[in-house]
Amino acid sequence: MTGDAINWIALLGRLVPSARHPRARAAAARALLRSGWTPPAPAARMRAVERGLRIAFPDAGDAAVREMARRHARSMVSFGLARAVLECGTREEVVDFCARRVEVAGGEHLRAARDHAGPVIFFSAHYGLPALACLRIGLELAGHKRVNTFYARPEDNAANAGYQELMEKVLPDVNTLPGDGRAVKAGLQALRRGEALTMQPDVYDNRDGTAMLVPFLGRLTFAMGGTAFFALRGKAMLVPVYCYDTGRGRFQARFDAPLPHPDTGNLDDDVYALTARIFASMEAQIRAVPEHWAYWESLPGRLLADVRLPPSPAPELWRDAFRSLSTRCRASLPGAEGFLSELEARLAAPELHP
Amino acid sequence: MHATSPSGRPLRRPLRLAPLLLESLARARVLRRAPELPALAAPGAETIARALGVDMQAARALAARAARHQREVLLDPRRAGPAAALRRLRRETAAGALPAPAPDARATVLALPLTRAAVALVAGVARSGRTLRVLRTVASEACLRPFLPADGDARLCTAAELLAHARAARSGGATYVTFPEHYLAGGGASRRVSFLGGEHLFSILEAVLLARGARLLAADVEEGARAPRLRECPVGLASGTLAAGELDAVVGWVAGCAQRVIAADPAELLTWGAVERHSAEAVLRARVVSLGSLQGFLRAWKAEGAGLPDEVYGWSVAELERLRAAARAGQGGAA
Repeated sequence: MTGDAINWIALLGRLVPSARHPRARAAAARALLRSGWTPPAPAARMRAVERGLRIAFPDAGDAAVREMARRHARSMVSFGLARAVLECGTREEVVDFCARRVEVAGGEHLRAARDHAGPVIFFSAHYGLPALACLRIGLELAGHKRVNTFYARPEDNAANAGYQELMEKVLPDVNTLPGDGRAVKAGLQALRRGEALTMQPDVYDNRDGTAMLVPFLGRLTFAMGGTAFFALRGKAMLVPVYCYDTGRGRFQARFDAPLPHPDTGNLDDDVYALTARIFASMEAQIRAVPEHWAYWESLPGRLLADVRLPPSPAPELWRDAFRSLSTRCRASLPGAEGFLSELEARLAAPELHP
Repeated sequence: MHATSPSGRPLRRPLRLAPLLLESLARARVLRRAPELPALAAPGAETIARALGVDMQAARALAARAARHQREVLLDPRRAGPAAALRRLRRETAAGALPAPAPDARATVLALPLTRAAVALVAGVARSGRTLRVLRTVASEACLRPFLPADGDARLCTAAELLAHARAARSGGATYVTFPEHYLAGGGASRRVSFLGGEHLFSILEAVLLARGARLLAADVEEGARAPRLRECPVGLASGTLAAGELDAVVGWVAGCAQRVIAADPAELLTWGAVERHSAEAVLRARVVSLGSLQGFLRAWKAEGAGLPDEVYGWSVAELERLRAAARAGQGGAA
C-alpha cells in the first residue's frame, strides 16, 4: 500500500514539471512541497554528492555523510518544487508566498541596507533558493532602491530558465542583467546610482587563468573577483544573504552583517582579500547547514584537488604544505625552477626558524 | 564450432548461446561493479569533434565506443586473466592488428598511439621473452601492466630510465615502446606540432633514441587504408647527433603517423583524454593554474597569520604575478 502511494506520488511529481495548466502545476507543486515528500535520488548522483561532502567533512563518518547526502537530495527536490510554485503562480500568489512562507532572520541588516544612502550588493551562494531571496529583497526595498540582479543566461545554465520572467513578473522595477560584458557596465552604473545588486559568486569553475584561487572548504577554489570588484569600485555595502528550506514548505532568508572592505591601497590585493572574505562567509553557511548547497556533486572539479590547506596557523605546517605544493608544481612550470628554488631558500632562511 | 552437451551431442540453439550469454552477463556485472578503475580520462565528444571535424552526433558515438574499449582493456585482464584478455583483444583487433617487428641487432623504438592494437602488440612482444622497455605513463601503467609477465625482461620505465638503458651496451636488440600522442615531456624536451586540428606538444624522446642509433618504427596508416602498419622513420641523420631541422623533422613525422592512425579509427584510441590535455593551449593553461595555486596558497598563508614574513610574501607574489602575466600572454615566462 505504501509502495503504491509512493508510486502515485512519484508519478504526480513527474507530471508537475510538464503539466500544461500552470495553476494546476503550481497547486501540485505546493501540495508536494508541504507534504515534505522526496523521491529517491539516483545512486550515482548520491555517490557523487557523498564524494563532495567527504572533501569538506573529512572527519565525518560514513553514516553522517550518507545522512547529509540524503538531506541534500530532499533539499534539492524542495527547491525545485518551490521554483515551480513561484514560476507558475500569479504575482499576487508569489508576493503572498514571500510574505507568509519566508521568515526573515537578521532583519536589522536588511533594514540597514534598505536605509543605506549608498549602493548595496547582496550576495548569496547557489545555496537554497537565491531567487526567493532576491524576490524578498526586491519586495522589501520597493520604493527605496531599485534591484538589479545578475544571472547566467539559460543558454549557459539551463537551471536559470524562467528566472528573468519570474523577476519581471513580481518586481516590475527590476533590472535583470545576464552575465556578460555589457552587464558589468550596467552593474557599475547601477551602483553609481545607489541601487542594489544581487549576485552569486560561487558559480565559476574558470581555469583559463583569469580566476584567482581562494581558500574554500579546506582547499583552494577557483573564484572570480567580480563581486569584490563591484563592491570596492562602487563603494557598496556587501551583505550576505542565504535563503533555505526550514521544512514543510517554509523558508528562511537570513541576512548577515555586511562584510568590511579591506583597504591596503592596492586594488588587486583588496579584490583578492574581499573575495576570500566572501568565500569564507559562504563556507561558514555551507558548513553550518550543508544540505542546501547545490554544488556538492561538482565540488571536486571546483577545487584544486592536490592542495590541502593546513588546519591550523602553525608555521611549520604551512611551510611543509608549501614545499609539497612547490614540488608538484615544478613539473608544469618549466622555466620557473629558479624562482621556486629562491623562494624555498628564503622560506628556509635561519631567521624564520627561531 | 558449436558447444556440446556432456554426451557430445550439439546443444540446441538457446543452449549453444548460453556460454556467450553468461560471459556477457559476467562482463556486464564486472563493468557495473568496478566503474572506477585506474584512471583513463573518459573521451570527450567535444574534443573528438574538434580534432576530427565531425559533427557532435558522430563524435558522441565515437566517444561511447572509445569509452567501451577503455573499460574492456582495463577490466578484461582483471576479470579473465591476461592470457584470455590477450586472446580476446587479438580476436577483436584482427583486422587492424600490428605485426611484431622482426628482431634487429640495433635497438628498436616503437612509437605507438595507445590503441587496442598497440596493447595487443606490446603484450605479444612481452610474452616472446624479448627485452622490452615500455614508457610509463598513467595510461600505459593502467592498460599494460597486467600484460607484462613478472618473470620476463619486460617492464615499464620512465623516459630517463629508458634513455639510460639505450645508452648502455646491453641495449642491442631491445625494444622500446613510446606513446607520442599522450606522453608529455617536461623541462623543454618537447616541440610544438600541428596535430588533430590544433597545436600540441610532442616529446623529442623518439628523436633522441634515433640519434643514439636505434631504429625508429611508428604505427602509420597508408592513404586509403584503415589498418595500421609499422613504418620505419625515413629521416636520415647526417651524423650521430641531431641538428635542429632533423629533430623537428623526426618529431613531425612521429606526430603525422600518430594523427593518421587516430583518424583512421578514432574509437580505437584509449587516450583521448590526454590528447586534450596535451594541446599547447591546455599546457599553457595548466601553467597559469599552477602559478595561481602558488599565489593562492601564499595569500592564504599570509591571511592565516602563520609566520610568512612580509618581505618574502611581497617579493613572491610580485614574481608570481609577473610569471602569470607572461604565461597568459603565451611567452612561458621563464624566471
